[in-house]
Amino acid sequence: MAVYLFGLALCLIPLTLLAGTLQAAFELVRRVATLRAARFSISATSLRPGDRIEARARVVPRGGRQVTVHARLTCTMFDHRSHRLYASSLAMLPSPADRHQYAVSLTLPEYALRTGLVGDSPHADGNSRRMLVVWTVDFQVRAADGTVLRRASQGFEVPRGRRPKTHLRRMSLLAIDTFSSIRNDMLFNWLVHLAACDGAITSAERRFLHDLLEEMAGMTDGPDTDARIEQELRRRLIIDDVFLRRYVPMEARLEFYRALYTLARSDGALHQREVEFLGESLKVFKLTAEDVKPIEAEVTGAPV
Amino acid sequence: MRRSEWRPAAAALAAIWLVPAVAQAHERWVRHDYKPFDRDYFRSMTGQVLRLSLAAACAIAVIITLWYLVATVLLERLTPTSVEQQVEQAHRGSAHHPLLSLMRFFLDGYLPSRWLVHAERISVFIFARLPGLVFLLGAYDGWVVMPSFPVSGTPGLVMRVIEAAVALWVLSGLFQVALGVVMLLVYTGLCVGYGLAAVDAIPVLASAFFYLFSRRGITLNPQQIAGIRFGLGVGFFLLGLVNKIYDAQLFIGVGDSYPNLVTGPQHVFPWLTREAWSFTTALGEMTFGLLLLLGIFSRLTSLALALIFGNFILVFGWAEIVHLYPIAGFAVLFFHASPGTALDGMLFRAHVRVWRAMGYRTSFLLYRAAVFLVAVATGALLMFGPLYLIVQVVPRLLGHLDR
Repeated sequence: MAVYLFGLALCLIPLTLLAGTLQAAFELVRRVATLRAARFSISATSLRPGDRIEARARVVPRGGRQVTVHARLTCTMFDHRSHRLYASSLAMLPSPADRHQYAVSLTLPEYALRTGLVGDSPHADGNSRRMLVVWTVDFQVRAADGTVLRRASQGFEVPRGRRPKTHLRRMSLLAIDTFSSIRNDMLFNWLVHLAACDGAITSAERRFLHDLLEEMAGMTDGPDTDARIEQELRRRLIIDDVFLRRYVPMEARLEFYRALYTLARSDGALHQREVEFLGESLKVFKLTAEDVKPIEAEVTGAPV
Repeated sequence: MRRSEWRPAAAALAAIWLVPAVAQAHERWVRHDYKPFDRDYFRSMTGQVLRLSLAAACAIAVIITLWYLVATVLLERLTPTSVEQQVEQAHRGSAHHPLLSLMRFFLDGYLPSRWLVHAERISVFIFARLPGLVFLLGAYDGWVVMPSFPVSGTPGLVMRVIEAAVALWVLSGLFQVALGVVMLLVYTGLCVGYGLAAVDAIPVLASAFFYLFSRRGITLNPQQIAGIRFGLGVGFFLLGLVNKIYDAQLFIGVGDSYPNLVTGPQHVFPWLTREAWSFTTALGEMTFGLLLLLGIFSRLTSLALALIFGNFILVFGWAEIVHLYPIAGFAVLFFHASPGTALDGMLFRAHVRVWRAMGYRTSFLLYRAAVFLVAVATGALLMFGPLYLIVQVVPRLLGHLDR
């Protein structure tokens, strides 16, 4: 039997080579057939937290093909595999002067982690972890049906970012702290998407979001807040849920859920899409229906 | 009796056990009368042997590459990790599809299943107790640990009594740390007494480490898993390298005694001579042993190895019943969610080196390059290296020493 299994293992060599070659050839042919040119650049190679970076692209499709270009600011932590800790994605807008030139401005969050190697000391104990933190701007050129035609990634350094900790307990504190920093940003982004997931943002939901923005950022100007809501609708903010579950205390996750549920309830009964969104939020935060029952009762005024 | 008091007593018991006897191991205990064959086939890294060895090293490199670049990515895709993925999957109705769960299982993913937890507990219980039954069978049949190590006469009788006592100790499940020490001593004794044939008993090391690292109240800890991997992985690797390449007459003898074992594969691979059959079987065992040791595709590898051992029982019958023992070990690895592989640390360091070499810029291409480097290095050092040593270096070294 070992002979047959060895034969199967050997079959993997040509199969892998064939599949790899075919995939590379397919992507190359698709790229050549759909795009005449695609060049990407970023405005800086070293940033401080809070700095802005401009992502630029020159994408010339073939024929009258419609494409969209997206830029995503991503923080990836590598141990032996990659974990995307943070990703803020924005659609790039074509320049009025040249429709093939795209640009978008991305802001490195204040809580950005420092790039580089952490841990991996020979004296590390079982409570330590090693990691390589990198920041990139990832570009995607998509066809009208969403097919990704071209990907590119440009790295930059964040030498003055927050220093990640290697000790697990300290890492937990950092994660909680990071989550506290990111929370408002993430909460508002999720709330906007929750409000929009049942179709349109109702007036009650919009009022809730306005109040929240006033409380969080002191924004009182109506057009400004509406512009911010539109901006959040265009971007999706994601944080690695494994990271969240591992390090963020339950109280913080419950508080996050309370804000989501309050908004969902602000226009009356829950829409099916809202129920799904809330259900998935529970999974992301590893909360159960039992955990959030008191919160839901408190928000709706029903007895527990 | 306190644990510390048990250790000297256990050492004394093992010392009595260490009486050398005539070596007859694994392929050694089923009929293996061999006809003349080309011994030089196994003594030179040229021609078919070189091609097959390179192919085996390439297969290891490809499997490792597939593991890091395809399997882990696929596993992450199958395991919902963000709101978007989960919502999309819920819409498609695929979030809990049994086929996806099966794929996650065979890609060594974690599945929150009570059934799996029970299966793991049962397999751990069986693996912890099964050596007791094997030892009782040995005491009854007249061998120590495995049929490879027969005993006879008065010393043999004494050892069989001791074996029965150890069997009862194993079955009782008491003082497992001391039992681990005894098992290590037993294996050392087999090495001293039986020389190269002790390769057959390497799975005993899996039990030794399992007992040695056991902690009260914990079903299975990472040290135990590493110990089982080491014992079974290295054991299987050496079974191929030693019993089928270095001592090729053993396995070719089995093939000559049971011709169907050779003619069956020859229908699929017409180029397979008796020598090539022994060599490719060895490469198969080494490949899967190495993968088990490294923790790559842990569940699939455990399943493949359990099938190989199960096949022995089907082909040779009762004579191979002791193989239920390693099968129990494979069952433990099969049901246990793998926390990582032995190459993870090496891959991290390789990635960091490449990242530094490229001026602290990163991309997934660099990560892929690091994976490729690690895969090739592993195939070369852990597969081709030992083969080259046994086929090319050792015969010449021994020949030189004989002169």
